[in-house]
Amino acid sequence: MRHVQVFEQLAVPHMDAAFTLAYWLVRSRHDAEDIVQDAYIRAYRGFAGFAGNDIKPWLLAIVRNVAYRWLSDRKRLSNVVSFDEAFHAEPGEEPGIARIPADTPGPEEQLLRDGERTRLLDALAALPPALREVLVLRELEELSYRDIAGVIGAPVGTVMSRLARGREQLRRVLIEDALKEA
Amino acid sequence: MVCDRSREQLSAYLDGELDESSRREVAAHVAACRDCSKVIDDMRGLRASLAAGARMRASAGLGDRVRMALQKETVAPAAPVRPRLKTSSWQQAAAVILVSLASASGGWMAAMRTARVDRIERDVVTAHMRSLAQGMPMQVASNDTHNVKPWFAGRIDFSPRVNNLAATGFDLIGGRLDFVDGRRVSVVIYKRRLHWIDVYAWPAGQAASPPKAASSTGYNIVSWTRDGIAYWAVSDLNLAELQELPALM
Repeated sequence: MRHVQVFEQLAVPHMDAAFTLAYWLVRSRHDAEDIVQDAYIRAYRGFAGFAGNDIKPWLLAIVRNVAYRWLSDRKRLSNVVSFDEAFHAEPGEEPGIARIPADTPGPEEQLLRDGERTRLLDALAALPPALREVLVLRELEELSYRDIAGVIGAPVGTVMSRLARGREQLRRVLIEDALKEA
Repeated sequence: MVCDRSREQLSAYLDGELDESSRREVAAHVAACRDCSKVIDDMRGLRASLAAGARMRASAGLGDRVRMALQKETVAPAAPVRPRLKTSSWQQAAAVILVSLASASGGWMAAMRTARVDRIERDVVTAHMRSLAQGMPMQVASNDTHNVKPWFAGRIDFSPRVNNLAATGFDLIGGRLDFVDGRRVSVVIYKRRLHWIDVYAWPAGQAASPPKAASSTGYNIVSWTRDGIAYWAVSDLNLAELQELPALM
């Protein structure tokens, strides 16, 4: 059907962006891929309702919705498992939230030295989701404030303040780390 | 002495999101202020590091899996889709049900209410998507409330608000009847820019309740109750603007 091909042509080029956002929300490659697949199907089903010029923010909003729904489902489940995990959680780690898995990045992703990269990714992962997602949308997906506001469903002023706070927190964490190394 | 220029403003400057006169002012300040140029440099460094290290690439198979799933949609659409969580035993599954019922405030009644709200949410979004797929989603087409309101009066036994909101950027398009959660409801149709907004309405169990926002499968929803009528506004318009509606109606 022509309709599917039109959708694919528009949406498939953004799959890495979708995966990046999903990954930084749920912090598991495997689950992020499930979420992207689910989001793309929902996007296709809702495609008749897409009436804009740029499919990327619309698509990312759907990915975000699916990811947050998945996280709240998992949180409900973790009420059962968290008793055990609480015993084994490191100080400062929330029970039920996965650590960054030790993925081997492909050569094209190894643009920072491994130690630096781990520090940076851990710092990003440690941010509250509301700050983390706007940083991902701005620094990795290069969306405008207006588009970010549309994706997260909040006013532009909120986007601006969360970006500033996220950057400040990251900056502080990385400076502290650097001082510890010295 | 550290400069007290706001981080938000510097951040917006870095992103090119300031208006022209603010941009020029900040640029001039940054050129002369060591503290602020350090902050800007740090933020630029952070951006470069993130861009170099935090981007993720999906595995090679994902593209194929998504394409195959989309092909299946064209043959047999609309089985509900949700990435499945793994529960390894009946005991765990039963425990989940118990915990989620107990933890919702009010226990069982709250769980039933939540299930009903989920149904309504699903129905209004589905109805909205269906209407978008049709060429003419309205049964009465008029931007005049004096045509739309009486049209409903002959067909339903309650009286939803129908306002002309053109002055605030919501154009009245018309109305239709639809079904939500097994009952006949009114739909008043608005448009803002390119976004269609369906406002579903039916008699409610309570007189009034404050607006609530939600998102479902890519659509945004704002719901509220006023004068004994429940309103559900569904659109792909962003939530910030959709949330203007309750106050306007």
